[in-house]
Amino acid sequence: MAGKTPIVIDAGTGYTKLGYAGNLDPAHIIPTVVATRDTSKETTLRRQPGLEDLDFYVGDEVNAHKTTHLPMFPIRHGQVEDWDLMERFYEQALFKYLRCEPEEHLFMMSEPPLNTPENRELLAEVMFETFNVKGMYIANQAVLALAASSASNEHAPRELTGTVIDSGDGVTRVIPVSDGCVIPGSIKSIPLAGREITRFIQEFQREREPGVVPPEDAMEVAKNIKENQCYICRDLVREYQRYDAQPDQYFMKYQGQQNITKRPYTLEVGYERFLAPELYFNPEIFSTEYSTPLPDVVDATILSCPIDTRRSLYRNIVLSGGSTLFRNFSRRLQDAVREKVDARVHRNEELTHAKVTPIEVNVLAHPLQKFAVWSGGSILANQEQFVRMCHTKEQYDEVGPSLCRHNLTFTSAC
Amino acid sequence: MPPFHSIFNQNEKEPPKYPMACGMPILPLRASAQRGPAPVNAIEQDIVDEAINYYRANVLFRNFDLKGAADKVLIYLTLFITQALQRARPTKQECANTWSSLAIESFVLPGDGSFALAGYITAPAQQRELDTIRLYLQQLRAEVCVRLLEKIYPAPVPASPTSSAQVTFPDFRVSHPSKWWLQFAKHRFLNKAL
Repeated sequence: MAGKTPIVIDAGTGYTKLGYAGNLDPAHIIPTVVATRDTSKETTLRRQPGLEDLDFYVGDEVNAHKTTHLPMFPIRHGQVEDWDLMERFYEQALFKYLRCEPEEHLFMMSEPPLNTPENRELLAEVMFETFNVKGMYIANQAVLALAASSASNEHAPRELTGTVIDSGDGVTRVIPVSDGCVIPGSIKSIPLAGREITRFIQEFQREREPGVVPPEDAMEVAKNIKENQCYICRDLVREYQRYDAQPDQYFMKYQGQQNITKRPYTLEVGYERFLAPELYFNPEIFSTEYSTPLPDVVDATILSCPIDTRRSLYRNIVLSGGSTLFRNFSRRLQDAVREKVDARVHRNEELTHAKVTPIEVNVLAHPLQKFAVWSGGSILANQEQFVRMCHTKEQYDEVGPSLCRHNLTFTSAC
Repeated sequence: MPPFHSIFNQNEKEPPKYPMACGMPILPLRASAQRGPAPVNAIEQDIVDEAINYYRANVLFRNFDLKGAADKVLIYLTLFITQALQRARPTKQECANTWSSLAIESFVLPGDGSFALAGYITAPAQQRELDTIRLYLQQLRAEVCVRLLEKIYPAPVPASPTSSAQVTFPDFRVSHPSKWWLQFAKHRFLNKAL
């Protein structure tokens, strides 16, 4: 491949993932936050004229400057809302974290499933005019997640067709993709995700043993338990009985230390280990407003897609995002969706007396699930064809930002 | 996976297998501390066992679709278990005393204005039905108390040979009600309380 390694950037609501194509993991994972000087708090005397533009912090440094600077989040619900802030954020991300020369690299940028063409133009303006990049490609997050699954799992089909279940911290989305194109009308989202799971664990523990965990640590403790000790069970009642029969195998301990006083505390972890991830299968336990389980949403999403894509969408259901990492997630989801599909096929056969070819349902877990979007970008940007698919600086100078409204589609992951 | 339902539910179209009172079937029990309308049969799992086994899963739900008449008994018992857990005492003996009076104390019956499950359980038609339902519910309540007591103050569990010998969790040997049960008393099943 000619030139230097392409750079892959996946900007998410919570964290931005940065790194070089061809790597398995992003080089930097930094919070998507920019803190600028809080002008309401200071006198005019201390302000140095002419330097306001440079006086800001991004990512992890924001915490250290909370007293003088105001943290602001340029991305909300996956969409960039403040391009001015985003430009500053990218500046630091490229020059301070990646330390690269943007003029020499091609860029693979990610965009949320329902991004507007205007947003793509704005991104093109920032990248080509501010940073003078050599070339850029904008890829949909769902397509990248599919590519990651397809490249890391030998059982996955090579073509970019499948249903992506993307569950991060704020929202869970089900996105059908056919031959590298998202089917926009059929995207469905569930307003419950990782944050609700953390909150449930926290509340459940407070109900049982109030006062064990210091309140300022409660969120962090619940998050640790969620990430390390939770799993998905087959059947609630049977799981309870298992805990009753062998308590010393199933109940766990969590040891923590209070931040300021260094007082150690011990917390017992019990039923929340399997109850918390039930969020996806019994949302009723968590929310009064939302009660449709994830398998039903997946089924409804696929049924709303064009009829000739449905079989391949059922065949390749792909997980992406940190909240899909629970043990046995894929197996339970697969069983639940398969049960629904089989029941419908059976009923159809009964009514029409015609033989239906069984519908294959596969939910695929893969090793790159946590940073699936970034990893997918890394894989696609490493291909030979990526150079041809990028919009180049010369084309941009010729056409203008509207060039980036459309991007060529990748049709296979390898 | 929706909430768990009773295996005693039967098809509405078939003639009822069990005698009915206030729309609830009078189901047989495998043992009964108190005499009442429900017969004692040698069955493996009865409605009281079901209610106690399913309790920790079902109590978390806010909705419950009836799949048959026996589910009404299940709902009533689930709410009663919550009530009993709320009145649990620090030692097993104290708890046994409190609960035995809880089981037989005068409680709200179907047909009464303040009965929590008025939407599920119909009012008795005549005095005889009222007497039957009172005795039946009393029998069930007494039986729940007896069996639940063994659950929330379980016998010490021998440490399994595979685990390290140092600490076993939770330590059931102390005579405290199990916090793993008591925490569920704070949930309001169907947003109702007896």
